[in-house]
Amino acid sequence: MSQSEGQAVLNELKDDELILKAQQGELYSFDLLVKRYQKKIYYLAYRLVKNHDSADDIAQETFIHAYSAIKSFKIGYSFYTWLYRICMNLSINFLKRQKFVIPESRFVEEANPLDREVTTLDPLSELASKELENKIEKALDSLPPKYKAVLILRIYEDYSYEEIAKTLKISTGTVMSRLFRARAKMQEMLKEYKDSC
Amino acid sequence: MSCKRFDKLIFLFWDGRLKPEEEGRLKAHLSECEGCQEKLSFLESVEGRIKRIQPKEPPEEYWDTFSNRVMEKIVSQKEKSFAVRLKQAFENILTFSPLKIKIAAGLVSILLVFIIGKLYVDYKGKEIVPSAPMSRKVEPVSNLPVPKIEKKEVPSKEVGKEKIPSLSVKPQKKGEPPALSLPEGKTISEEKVGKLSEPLQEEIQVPAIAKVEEEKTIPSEKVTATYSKSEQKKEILPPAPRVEPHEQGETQSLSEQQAVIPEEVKGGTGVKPEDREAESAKTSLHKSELYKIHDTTQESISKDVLATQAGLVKSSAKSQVTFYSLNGNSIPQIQESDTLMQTDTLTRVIQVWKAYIEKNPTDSLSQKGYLQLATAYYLLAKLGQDTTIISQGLNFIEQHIDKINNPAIKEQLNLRLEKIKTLLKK
Repeated sequence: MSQSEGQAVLNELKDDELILKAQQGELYSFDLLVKRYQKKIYYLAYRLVKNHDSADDIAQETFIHAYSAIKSFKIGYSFYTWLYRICMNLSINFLKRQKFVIPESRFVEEANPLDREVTTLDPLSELASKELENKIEKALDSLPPKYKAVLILRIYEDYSYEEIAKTLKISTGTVMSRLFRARAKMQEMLKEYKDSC
Repeated sequence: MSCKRFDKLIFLFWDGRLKPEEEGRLKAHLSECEGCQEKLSFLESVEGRIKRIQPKEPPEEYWDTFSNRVMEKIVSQKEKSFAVRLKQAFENILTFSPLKIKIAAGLVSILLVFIIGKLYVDYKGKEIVPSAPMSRKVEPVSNLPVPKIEKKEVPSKEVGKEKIPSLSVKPQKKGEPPALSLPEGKTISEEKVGKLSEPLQEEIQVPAIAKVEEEKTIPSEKVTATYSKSEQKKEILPPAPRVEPHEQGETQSLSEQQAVIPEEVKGGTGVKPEDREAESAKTSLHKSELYKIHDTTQESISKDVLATQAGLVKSSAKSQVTFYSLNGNSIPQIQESDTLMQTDTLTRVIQVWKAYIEKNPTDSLSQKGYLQLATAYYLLAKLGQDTTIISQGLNFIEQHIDKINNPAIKEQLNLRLEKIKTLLKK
């Protein structure tokens, strides 16, 4: 079996198998796990901290923490959820330390402008829409970390209440109440744009 | 139901968490309430927009290198972990705790006790054994240049020095002769010194004789014992102990008759008197052998003297003393260099030899006796004795000089007589 074939086989392995190998000291298996989840973890961190360098640090720290505790990981559980939890905790801690987060880009562009729905909006309407997105982003950043974390998991990751509760190690009721408060705050901050939506 | 109460239901409806009956009630309210409809549409709009907001994509290189950077950090952390643990352990040591303080105090007190004890022992040792001030070790004389010995002209002092292996000189008060210690650090008690300095007629206890097998060869006429030259200088030895004679013509013949007491024979000095009897019983065989030898020549060597001499030899250097045993009298062989010899001893040597020569004037031993007599008179002359005694002695020798058969001895004798005469003239 050639090296590339071996890598291909390893790539096909499930999380649990790779984790088992990583627990036995195989760094390459853990490297595969990193590659498998690096983007998701980075974006999660980025959405929370709104800064590439900080998101990069948090994402790396997430994997380093995961490796140092890999032997305590119980096979059969979701590795992804575990990583999310670590990343979320690190991000929340980061946000708590940094009260005033200066976003890297206040006006975030869409992932792919070509994928945008073709709208019949005139330039003025488009400008208004941009401004609204800015306001939404700003409102989101101004939310307390714990509300922000719940909202991001709900909106971006489309997590159920139970998943959010599991990730953040809180109860479903807490998730529900935090979501309610986060949304209420957002509506309060964006009420002047109600008509434009 | 007021619109405010429907707010929570609207959020739950949006998340799909409403029960069917609640959903029915909300839908009924939404159909009637425009404000709540606006709320729902606003929520949908905001969250729709939030979902559409995507973070800036980092460059592809970033993703290529991300895992490598993570793994590098993991590896470096692994390597550092030992150092970190060490550092933490060190920090833990530095942090104070009552137990640590107690342990440290205990260790310090043990250390102090050890240091104080060591200092005390050192100090005490100095008091017990005071160091000899200005003590110096005398170079062995054997290392000194020795003048070439030529026939009769060999100065016996030089020869004597040659036999001294090493001496340590302890400085004394002014006027006193330097105290010489035995090389092996042994000393001779005052009691013993007093005894030994007395004439040899005195009976001395036989010390232990360990091995006397070799003494089977001891001749009747002469017994050579080993003694220290330094002891002689201290005048603690019996009269006229001295080194092997180097007189021409005499050496060879004497050596046949001499018996050097082996070192094993020594050992009398350290033996207690009560032990000596037991020791002497053990060595009865040796004693009988000694007596046997004496009987054959009708002369007896005092075994006591022999043993005593041997005992002295124990801690002495390698120089030897030769004894003549004449008609039951042991007398030392004397040399011109024995200037420290006591007058009494010299007088006794003269008396014994005179008596022997008169009995056996042509005896081979008498031949040596003339030389001994001449030497004794020479030493007496040197000591400043009455010239009449010395003159009588010269006359005695001159009367018997014709009976000397050995020309070498005769020649030596003449030389000594001339020396005596010169001294007398002075």
